[in-house]
Amino acid sequence: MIKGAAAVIIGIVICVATSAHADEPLTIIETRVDRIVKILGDKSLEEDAKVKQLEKAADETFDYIYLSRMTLGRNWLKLDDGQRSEFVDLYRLLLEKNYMGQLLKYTDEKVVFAKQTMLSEKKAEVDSNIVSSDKKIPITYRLIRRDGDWKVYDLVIEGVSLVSNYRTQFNDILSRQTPAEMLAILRKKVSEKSG
Amino acid sequence: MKKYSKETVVGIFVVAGLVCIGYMTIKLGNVGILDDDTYALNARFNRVTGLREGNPVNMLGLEIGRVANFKMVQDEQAVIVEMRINKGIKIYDDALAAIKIEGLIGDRYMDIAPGGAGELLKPGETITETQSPTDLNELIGKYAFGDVKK
Repeated sequence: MIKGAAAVIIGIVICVATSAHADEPLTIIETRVDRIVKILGDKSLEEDAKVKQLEKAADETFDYIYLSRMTLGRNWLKLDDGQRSEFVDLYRLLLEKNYMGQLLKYTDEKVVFAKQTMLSEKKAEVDSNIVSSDKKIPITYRLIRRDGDWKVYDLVIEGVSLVSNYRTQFNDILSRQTPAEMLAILRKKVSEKSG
Repeated sequence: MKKYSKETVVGIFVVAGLVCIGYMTIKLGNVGILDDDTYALNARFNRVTGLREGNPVNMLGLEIGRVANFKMVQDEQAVIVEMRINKGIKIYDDALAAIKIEGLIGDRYMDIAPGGAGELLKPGETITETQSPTDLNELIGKYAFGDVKK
């Protein structure tokens, strides 16, 4: 009876420890990136099907609303609710169109995760490297915890932040044009890339 | 009476000279006395190559403060940079801090894109959205000459 009780207690402790570990940003991002790598490496998938699966995986990995807010910074306040919603959609499409081509060129690179650093209660950084036969590219994921889940809101590749790069560009546009004009530019850009 | 007047004049000139020296020391040397018109903010970087105490902190091209101190957090392989920011300058938690170089071979400075859609940072709080300086030599070497480990 004592042995049985001890086994139950040990089982509970392992479950709690595993679930606590499973909630950590490093574990979550590792799982999601592994899934993306599996999709990329699946030779049985046609390109269209692969793109659809990658888009779904990206939706689960990125917090596009927070990413959009961080990208616009102060300019976020200039947009009304409808414009913000449209900006989030268009920005997501722009990023997918800009980077999907690069992703689909994947061959056999490995993603090696290093450490996680808690920046605050709700923000964390996870360091990793993409390792190929002749290169090692450092990528840092910046994650935010919202509604109990950790999602990516910035990527720092070779020391260059995605948010910082696009914030400069959108600041420049919005210093001379209205949010409505900026959205028109984005709509045109996204439809050009689709065509 | 004349002697007293001469000494008085000399004394006035000496006091005036000391006041001028004191004023220039404070204004040119960035020395605060009683009322510090700055507040502390921190920024967290993975590396701070070339940044020194006293380097300017700029926003929108204007100087808004100075780099005051560095603290290495070895466990996290990070450096916390303490800045003194002029009072009245508001910086939010969606601010972006980057270490940049003036021109091609100038001094390093901290550039802050202030944000504004997030929460206002209070004195002593930390900017977490940062971009460390790129090591150009390392980058060129990696892509020009490849990696030694294959």
